[in-house]
Formats: sequence, structure tokens, C-alpha cells
Amino acid sequence: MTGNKALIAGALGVVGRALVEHLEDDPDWEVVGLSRRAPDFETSATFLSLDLLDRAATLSTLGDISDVTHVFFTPYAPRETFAAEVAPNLAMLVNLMDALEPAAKGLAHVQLMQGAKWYGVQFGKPYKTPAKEDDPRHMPPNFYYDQQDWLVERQKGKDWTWSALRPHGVWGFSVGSAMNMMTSLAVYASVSRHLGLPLRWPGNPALLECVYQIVDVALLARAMVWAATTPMAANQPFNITNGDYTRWKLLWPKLADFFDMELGPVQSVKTQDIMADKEPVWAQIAEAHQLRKYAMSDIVTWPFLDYAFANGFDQMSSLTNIRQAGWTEVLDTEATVTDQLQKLRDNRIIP
Amino acid sequence: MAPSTDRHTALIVGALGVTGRALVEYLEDKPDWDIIALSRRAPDFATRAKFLSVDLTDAADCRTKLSEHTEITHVFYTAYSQQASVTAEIPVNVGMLANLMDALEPAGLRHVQLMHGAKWYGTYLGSYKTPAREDDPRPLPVNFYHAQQDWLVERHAAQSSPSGWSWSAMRPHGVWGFSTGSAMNLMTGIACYAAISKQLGLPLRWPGSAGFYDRLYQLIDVELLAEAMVWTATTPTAANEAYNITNGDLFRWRQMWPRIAEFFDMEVAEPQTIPVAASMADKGALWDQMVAEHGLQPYALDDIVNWAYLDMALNNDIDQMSSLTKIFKAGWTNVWDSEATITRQLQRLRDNKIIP
Repeated sequence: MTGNKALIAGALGVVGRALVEHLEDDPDWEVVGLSRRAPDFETSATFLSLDLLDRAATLSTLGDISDVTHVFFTPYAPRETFAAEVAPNLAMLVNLMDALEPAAKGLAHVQLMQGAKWYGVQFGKPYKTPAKEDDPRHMPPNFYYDQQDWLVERQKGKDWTWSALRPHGVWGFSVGSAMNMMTSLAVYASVSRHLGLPLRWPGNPALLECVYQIVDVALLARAMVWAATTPMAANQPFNITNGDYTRWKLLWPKLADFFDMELGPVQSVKTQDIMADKEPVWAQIAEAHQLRKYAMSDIVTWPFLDYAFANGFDQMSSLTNIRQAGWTEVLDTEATVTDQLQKLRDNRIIP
Repeated sequence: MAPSTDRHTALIVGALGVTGRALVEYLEDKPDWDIIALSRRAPDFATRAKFLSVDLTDAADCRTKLSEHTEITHVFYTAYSQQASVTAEIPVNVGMLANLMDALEPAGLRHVQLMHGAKWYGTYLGSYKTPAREDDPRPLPVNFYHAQQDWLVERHAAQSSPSGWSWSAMRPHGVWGFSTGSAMNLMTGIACYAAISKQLGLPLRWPGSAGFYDRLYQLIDVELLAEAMVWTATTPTAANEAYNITNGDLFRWRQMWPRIAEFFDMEVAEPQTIPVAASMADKGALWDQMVAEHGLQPYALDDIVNWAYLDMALNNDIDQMSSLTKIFKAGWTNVWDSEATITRQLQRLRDNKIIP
């Protein structure tokens, strides 16, 4: 068999979806997507509806798939506390591997999708930056640690290799996922504009001045495939971003330009509070601009935006390790931050 | 003998500064490069480079000594004439470049490279926009970097042959390597500060501003810079542009300072901001004593350290960041770990008996 077969778990999240789009037109790859939901877009990928927390269903659904070569594991089961996240997120990985590994004789690689939460960014307080992959761990719990430790043990003596990617500021489109900053910002801006308001920074004023980084989800998808297929990259974690650094004060005017809005003064708010009553406004916008019929709640994650914008410290990942392993692509964030937004506009998701 | 198109002759102007010296060493064992080196001083190390002493401020001296060297293909211009003010540096430094080019052109020139730095962005003035990008608006006041580049771009455009020479400019930051008697050397300054602190039985204290200890900083291993200089000068797709260059990572001195203390086997204590130049002014005799005690090469402290530069470099409270996106997009892929650079270059100083 010459081709590769990717099993993408969490295939409708922002990352999984981008990887489906990246691989589905590549003749070297066959794609199987796993999600509890069915895709709301046309795709040549095979989608299986599966809840990875359901062990019996996972064993019966995946036990017959013998030709998977690469696993891309991107699902995330949010819970009320960090401690409560460990068991379900580990169980999803264990269930998948228990189901797949006995059958998939040609398994070559298993990749975990992590993020800067590995470094403690989720606590909302400064962490050591630039963060390096081998920096000391923060005090657990952190389900990334449990997943990676488990996978490292499981891989010992096996023919397949593992990797983990730690992106930050994933910038791309998704529907109904737990974390999406870009669509939330796009809706916040569109609603502001519709109400005749200027674009006002809703986050912590200090964050405007801090160093920030994003990764275009299309670049992330390319990096995932690179890390999963490059022998020099095997069996280690890698930070990944666009490869540059910026500050929100440099990006914010680009967003205002994109939406053809004036920049207003800072107004820190909790978007989950002030946007709670805006579903009818979004419906008007969708009607007026003949957008595709998504409810606002389908494409925004206000609590995630509030969480991401509440802090006031530099957020930086070191890319030295992945570059020294041979990864060379960089994107200019200030120039490309609107590229993904333009795709949303072209697809009539936003006005 | 290789075909003539594969032969290069580098003219390294300012060959005993930290950058020029590293380029001499980098090209030393490259068989397809011949090296002509300009400096007012003679080298204090063994080299196959042909050293010439030329007064760049003297047009006639440049013509007399350089116009016969028609074999020169690549000019690496790293000379710097320090003057009393930023404005006063412009005519002198542009004049030196012009004298050189008048003497060399048109010969067989293929490339002329300027060595600039983050001062292009106004790092020496105070807060500047970071990460700094090559096409950011220039600060006021203009400094000689801007004037030199403008002059060279104009000269380049005025060439009669479109297949003539190309140009580039490098904008490194925090050049980390050895030199003697040059105007800017951060590494020897920090190394001597640490060694003297230890000799006095003091712990290693950060001498710069307290805020800067936590700010973002970047440096470049001078060996990587030499490689980048040659890459830029010989890569057609990189021609006729200016490029930021660093190791490609960022750090904070708070993270790196303990590594320096480990290197010198010292304890780290809390920062103690001092006026470095004033505080070190009386340490020449102590250094002489250390030279004798540790069997070091007989350099005077003033030969290897410019304390005023240290005061300038360590006393601000702003992130220092250059964007490398442009050079990465042009095809440069080399990144080095700054922690490794710091200890490796310090070890070279120790191995060469410059520091204890």
C-alpha cells in the first residue's frame, strides 16, 4: 500500500476541520474523520459519528479499520475543573488506541494536539516566556500531561512513533467547537458595526501591549502532517505558531480595516454578558447580508474569548526546536490575520 | 582551480571589529574565498587574510591602496567611525563608504553589504515599536545607517550595467562574540564584569536597569552572523534588501543570568543597578593582577571592554525584538539556541585565555 490513511479524531473542531480540508484533496491520503456530529460541509472524507467516551461504541466502530497509518488526535472534552478534565480526555485517547491498535498493523504515527496550556497559560497569570518544550511542568492536573505520558509509555517497543503539537492562538473557522477566538471576534466586530459602534477593544487593556502569537490553522495543518511524517521529528513535542510575534495593538487596526470600521477607545467587557442578548441582532445581520444560516451560538465561544482576552502578560512559544528539526514555514501574522476572515466572508459566514 | 565564477574575493572592511573578525574566521577555511581585510590595526591572531591598513576618510589613500585590487567580488562593510553625535556620524560614515566605492568600482564587484543593526529602529533613543520590521517607518533623527543605505541604493541604481553588483544590509542585534578594541562588545563587557565581581568575592548581580532584567532580549552568535552575511551576499533571491538577523529566539536576562553565574561558578544575587563605566573605571590594575594570577593573555581591560557601551545596552526598560519573518521568507533557515551561544562563546574566551 503506497497511500497513507489519516484518522482525524475531533474532525469538526477548528484544527481537525482544517486538517480534513488540507488532506482531502491530496491523492497520497485517505481521510477518516471522527466526530459526534455530522459535517455541515461537503467533503470527500469518510465521516464516522462516534463519541470516543463511549468505549463499547469506539471498539466496535474502529475495530474493523485495519489500514489507518496516521492518527491525529484533536478532540477536547471540557469540564468544570482542570482535575475533572483528566479522566475523560485520557479515556478518549485510551479508547481510541485500544480499538485501533490491534487492527491497524500499518500504524506509523500517533499525534496529540496540545497547546500553550501545557505551559500554564490557562491560569491567567504570567508564565515563563518564551516557553520551551522542555520547560518544567506546572503543578498538575493538566490532561495534556496525562495523555502524553500515557502515549509515551504505550509507544515503547512499537513500530509507530508519536508527536505532540503545541500551537497557540489557533486562527481559523469551526462550528460548534469549544474554542474559537477568530469567529468570536468576527461576530463581535460585525455586531458592533451593525449597531453603529466603532471597534472597541473588549479585553484587558494591558494585553494590547503584550507580545502575542497566533497560528493560521492552514499552516497548523501543514505542520501536523510534517511532524507526523518527518523521521527527525518523531517522538517529541513541538511548539508551533506562524513563526513571528506581534502585539494586539498591531493586529486590532487590521481587524478594523477589514470590517471597514473606526477604531474606538478601549472598553473592557465580558463578552459572554454583553453578547448574551445579541442572537436576534445576528439574525438580522445574517438576513441582511444573506449569510449562511448559522445561529450566533453555533460559531462563537464567548467564554473562550473572555478567557483569552482577560490576561495582561506576554504569550510566547519558542520555535527553536521545530526549526532545528527542519520546519521552515513562516507566515506574517500582521499581513495574514485577515486571510482567514476573508475566507469566512467568501463563504458567507460573516458579512 | 575552480572556474573563475566560483572564485570569490571578500573585502572585509573593519576586519578587527567583532563582526569583521568573525567573518575573517568564517571564510578562513573556505577554499573558494580569498580574503582582503581592512583595519587601521594589525591582526593579533594568525590568518591567511591579506591585511591592509587604509584610512577610509582619505579618498586618495583608498584609491592608492585599493584600486589595484580588481579581484574583489564581495564587499562586507562593517566599519564604524564613532563621533560626538548621531548627526555628526552621518557625513563621516557615508564619506568612508563613498571613498571605498569610488576606489573599487567598477572592477569585478558582485555584491556590497552594509553591516547595520537595530539602531536603525531607534533602540538607542528609547521605546520603539517591536517586533521591529525592516520596513517600519524610520525614527527621527536619521542616523548614518539610513544615510549609508540611501547612498548605496542610489549608487546601485546609477550603475551603467544592470548585471553589475547587488547590495544588502544586515541588521543584527546583540552581537555575541570576541573582539578587542572595538566600539561595541557586550559579551566581553559582561564576562569581565563577572570575572571582576568574582575576584572581589561578590556574587553575580545584574548591573543594568531592574526593568530590563525581565524584558525580552535577543542576540546573535557572531559565527551565525558571519554565515548569514555570506548567505545574504551570495543568494540571488536575497539581493537588494535589508534583513534583520538574530539567533532566531528570544530570552529574558533573568533566565540567562544564572547560566552566566554557573559558567563562572558564582552565586546569583538580586539586581544592583550601577553606573557601569564609572564603577569599573578604577579596575584596570585589578585586571592586570588577574591576568598575572590566571595566566591570561596580556590585554589591558580597556582593550577588551567598552563599559560605556554596556551602560547603553543594559539600561533601558523596553523589549528588544526584531522580526525575522523577512529573512525566513527569503530562504534563511538557521536558528541557534541563545543559551548555548552564550556559554559556548564564553568558553572560547576562557580557552583562549582572555578571561579566567
